[in-house]
Amino acid sequence: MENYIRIIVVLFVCWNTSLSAQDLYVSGLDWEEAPELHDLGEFSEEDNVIVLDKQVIEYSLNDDGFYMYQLIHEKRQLNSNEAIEEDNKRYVSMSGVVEVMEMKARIIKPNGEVVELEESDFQDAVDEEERQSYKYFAFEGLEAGSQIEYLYLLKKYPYSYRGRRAILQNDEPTIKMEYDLVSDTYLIFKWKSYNSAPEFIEDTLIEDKTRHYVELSNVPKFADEESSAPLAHAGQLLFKLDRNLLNNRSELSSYGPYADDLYKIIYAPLDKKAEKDLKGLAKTIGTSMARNDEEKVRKIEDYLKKNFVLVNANADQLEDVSEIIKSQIVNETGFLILFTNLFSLEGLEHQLVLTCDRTILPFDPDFECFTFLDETFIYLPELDLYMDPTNAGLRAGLIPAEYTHNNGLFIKQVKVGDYVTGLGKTGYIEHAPYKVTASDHFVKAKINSTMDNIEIELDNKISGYYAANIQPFYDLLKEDEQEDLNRGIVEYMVNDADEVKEISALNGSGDKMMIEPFIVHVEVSTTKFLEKAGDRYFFNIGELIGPQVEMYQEEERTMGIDDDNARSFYREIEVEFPNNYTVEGLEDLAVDVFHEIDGERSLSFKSTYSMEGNTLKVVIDEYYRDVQYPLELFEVYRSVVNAAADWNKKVLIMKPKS
Amino acid sequence: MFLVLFVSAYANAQGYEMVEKFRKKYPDEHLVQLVHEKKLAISLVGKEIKILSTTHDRALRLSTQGGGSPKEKVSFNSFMDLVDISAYTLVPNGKKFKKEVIKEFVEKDELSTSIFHDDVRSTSFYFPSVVQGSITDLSYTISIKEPYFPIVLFFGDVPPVEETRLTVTFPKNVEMGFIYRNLSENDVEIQKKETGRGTEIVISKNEIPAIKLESGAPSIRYFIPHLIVYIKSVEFKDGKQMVLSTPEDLHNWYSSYVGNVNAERDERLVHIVDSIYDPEKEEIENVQSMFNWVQDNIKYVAFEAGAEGFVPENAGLVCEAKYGDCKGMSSILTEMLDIAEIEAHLTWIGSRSIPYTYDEVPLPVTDNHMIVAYPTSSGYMFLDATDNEIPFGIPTAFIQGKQAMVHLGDSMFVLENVPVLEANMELYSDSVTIRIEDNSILGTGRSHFTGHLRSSFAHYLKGMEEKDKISFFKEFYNKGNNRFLIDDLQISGLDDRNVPLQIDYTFNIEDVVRRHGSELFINMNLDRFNEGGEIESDRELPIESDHLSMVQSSITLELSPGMEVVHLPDNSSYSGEEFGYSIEYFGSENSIRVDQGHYENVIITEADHFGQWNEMIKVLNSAYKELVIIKINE
Repeated sequence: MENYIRIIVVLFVCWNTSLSAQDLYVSGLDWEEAPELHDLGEFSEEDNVIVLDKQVIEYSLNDDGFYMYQLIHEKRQLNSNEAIEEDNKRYVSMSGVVEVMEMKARIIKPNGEVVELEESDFQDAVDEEERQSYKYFAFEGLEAGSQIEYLYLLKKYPYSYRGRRAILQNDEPTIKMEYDLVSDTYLIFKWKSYNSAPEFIEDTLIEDKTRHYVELSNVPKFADEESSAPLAHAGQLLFKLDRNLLNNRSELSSYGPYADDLYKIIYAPLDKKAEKDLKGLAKTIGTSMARNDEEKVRKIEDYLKKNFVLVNANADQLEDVSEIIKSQIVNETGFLILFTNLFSLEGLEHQLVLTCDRTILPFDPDFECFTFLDETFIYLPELDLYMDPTNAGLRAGLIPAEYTHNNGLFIKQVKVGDYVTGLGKTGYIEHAPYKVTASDHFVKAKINSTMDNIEIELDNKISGYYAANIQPFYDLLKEDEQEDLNRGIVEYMVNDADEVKEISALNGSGDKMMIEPFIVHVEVSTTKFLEKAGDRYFFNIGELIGPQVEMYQEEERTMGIDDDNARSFYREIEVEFPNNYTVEGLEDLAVDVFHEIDGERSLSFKSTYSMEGNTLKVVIDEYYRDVQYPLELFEVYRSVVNAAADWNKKVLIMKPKS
Repeated sequence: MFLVLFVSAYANAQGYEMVEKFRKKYPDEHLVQLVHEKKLAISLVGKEIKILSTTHDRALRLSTQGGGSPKEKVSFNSFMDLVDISAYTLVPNGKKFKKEVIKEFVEKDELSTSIFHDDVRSTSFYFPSVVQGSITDLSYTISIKEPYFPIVLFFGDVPPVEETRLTVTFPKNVEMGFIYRNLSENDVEIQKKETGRGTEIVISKNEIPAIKLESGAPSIRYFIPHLIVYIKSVEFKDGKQMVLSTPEDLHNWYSSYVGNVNAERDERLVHIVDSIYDPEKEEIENVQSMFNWVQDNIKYVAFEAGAEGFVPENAGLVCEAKYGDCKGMSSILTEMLDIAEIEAHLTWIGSRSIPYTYDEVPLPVTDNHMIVAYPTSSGYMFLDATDNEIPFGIPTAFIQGKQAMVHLGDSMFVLENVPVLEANMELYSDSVTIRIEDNSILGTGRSHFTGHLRSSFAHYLKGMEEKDKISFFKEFYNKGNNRFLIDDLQISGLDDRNVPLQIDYTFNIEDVVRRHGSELFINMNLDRFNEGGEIESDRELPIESDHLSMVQSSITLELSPGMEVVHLPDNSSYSGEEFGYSIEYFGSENSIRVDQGHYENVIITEADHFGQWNEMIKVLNSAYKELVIIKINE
């Protein structure tokens, strides 16, 4: 996306270059000349404490253009060898950096001795392919109790002026945190605070610049809890440039012009050759054989994802339709161009959707900010399907789950006379329904009369996110790799079985995904579910559903539930017992734990059974219809999860008939 | 800048039938390696030995995507120069192929997370138009600047290889060495040709089936056939110049890198040694203090940069930086011991991933590590401070059983084998007392970890938060079932490497006792070591462990008044030379005890023992299924 942003910078800002350079606020900042070890206060028992985390972002327009200046000043105390191990090196990405204006680092040893790194300690590494370069340095001579401190000032392309995020919490406790936003006085920023982060405070004393800042002290580290999204709960400030008083332009970060701009890049008219190549590709894919629109979409998607190689690089030919078709090598933008052009060619209505990872911060429809436009997907409104053009492990109907159950910017084609453009509108991206993502078990077991064998047949049917990264790649594996994969999926059934009679899989190919489940079929002879006590046997019927996730350990919970996706587990178990034994304990098999929201079960674990002759039939339906549950429902959620884990321990007692 | 330019040309090729032919021959393969070839050309310019090594790889895709990424990478370091590289794809086009040549290659520094300073660079590119039937072709030539580095050619790969070939050309006065590993001269075809300028030897083997890799196997050098080619000596008019022919030659060369190390005393280090050294103590206790000081104060950081990959850093610099690679850590430890007038020696060694001894392969490919050898009355003690949790006197796990080259002086060395720590020194012991309350068990336990287990657990536990430690041990013990919950956990011995790590814990397990009428049923095998440990019947490759191991577990159930034991399962055991177990029940009026013992006496379990292993697992599994019955007398 950087390309587009660069264009926008040129269009809207850079023509104001008649100004004389102003002194930068950031260049007046420095570290203390004589540093001292800091008292860690309430964090004195911690291994790794951030004593100071200061960041200053300054946007300034001067003689050589519009740039962002970023000052990072961090001071950390490392109290253990493990903390030293983790933090004795620093890599600073040079992505978007025009100039390193300053970079220095020093160590304050426990005895107060200060050692500053020398210029030769700062080294460069280049990765031309990823177009990334780094500066890196290492702190030498560290011992537990040392503080490391570094400060660097980077002059950068101002790519982020339309949306930048300050996360006001770290993965280690922070004694003092400071975040400043500075700009020339005619550049007016807007911001919004999330999760009760403090608002920016205006610096009223400063002259010639506008400065807003936040200061926090004694910030605890992120909480770490199962099925939660700690970042989305952390204090955050999002800001963006809104107005430039010099040229009287306002709403500089609004989505409107961006939608138009993106549209022009993705839907640039094709030349004759490209049109011909595209038609040739459609023919190879065989779109004309498709019986309906959905099949067309799936054919195109499966073909492109299987045959084209996605690379992380910028080059014109990776975004040129004819070149891509010829080399079968493509980058992310190129894939968007190829998919949308094929869809257009086939008359498939579609929109671009831009959104962000809700586990970092959900898309806020009330604050236009480019931080929310993190990833681009395609939406097919007629089919109500979302697709991720670059993720080879997913198929239409699924995009990475953390981008769903979130709002997004939908860009659709609008015709005004002859003029075609993209119109952006925010809307909600639903998460995939709970039935889509499932792992269902169908088990048939027969225990023999001498109690030394159980014949078991199992079909494990996997779909949705559970089949992602398995189903689409299955047919690309060699036979022995396929076998290993199958075994891995039904490991609990085949491990230590006396004999694995059959193990096979069905529907293992990308074109089946989201249409049929991926099925692993296994037949075994085993005794592993029987325990012996004198002349009686305990049949561990619960183990037929395999090991279950559990939340038995009680821990203090501070956040609600944030699951990636809704999901479902349905099981049918049929057991034929031998005539010469009685079976006891059946009544324990019926369980019903659930929670209703608006009169409908949202979380549920329900098992029922029936006995006909010697044959027991059990049906278990477990599902989680929603992806988020508030903190007050945590115990309910836990009880449903644990109901499955408890069921896994259900036992029937078998006694010989006298 | 990433850029692939295509120049189209029509190449003469055999046509598309080739794909059909190989698809029939290898129906399960996505890729077939048509050619894997190396050419080693040695020439003399005056007294300088010039070495050019050319690699040529040609592969045919039998399916479009199953053959892996079309990205290719050629890596090299500062001892090498990439002289030439060319690559192209032959794309099927009707009955012929269309040639697409790669014009630009991208260079990069390899940033490795485990190695800080690194001189490895690589050149990479994508093969374009890789579809079913495409042939990719890559050739590159590297100039090797030092004559000591051998080249290694593997006969076999994950895809089948149609032609594998090594061509060596060398002048008459050069003597070459050939070492065959996992194959012999009889397994290959050898053609030798004498020309006016020298000798050409071609060693080849055709139609090598695909090699299946299996997890947990030792490194590929243990089982894939390969050939190591090196220069032994050069006969000049004024005499013979030895390159590498014997361990003596290798040691001579290595000596040139260590000769000047620690030539001057570092005063700070002298002070440090003075503060550690205790003349009242035995010498070995002082060695331990110095070793522990290095473990505590010098951080291990891997380097890989040209000659620095061979030259140990001076002890003074290591002391100041407080970090070093294996050579730096060995340098500072030998220097500290030298200051204390204690004999110790720099020692080269290869990790277990390299299955060579110096006697067999006297070449730099045999080692990749440096340690310190300290002579004791019972032989050398091998000290490796790169693991800061290893107890004193124990070699690190990854060098056990390997041959070491102990540097005694300029032309003096000795080859010694590092011992493998015995199983009873690699002990996990666990002693637990439990009682029954309703359907649950309440218990207290104490565990000890020694040897390499101690050091790996210490690595996990240090830096782990308290609540993570509880979940870590919940997973580790998992007694009975996953309702096993730890109520309290105390860890001791974590800060003293030289005592066993001790864990004291109390726990409860719900739903693990079954009640039926007046009887209670309980499976006393709360720990089921090796459950699910059956080896797949079609496995071919051996299994490597990090170290030997022994487990001793004892569970005592205290009976409440009124409880009476009515059934105890039979004892069960298996005792083999390489592995075994025993389960024994002891009943008394007030308690029941079950003792379990397990041992593994080999690091590498060979495939011919898998049958016995599985037999043992089968017996063990049925023993695990036996319940104790207790009657409750009201």
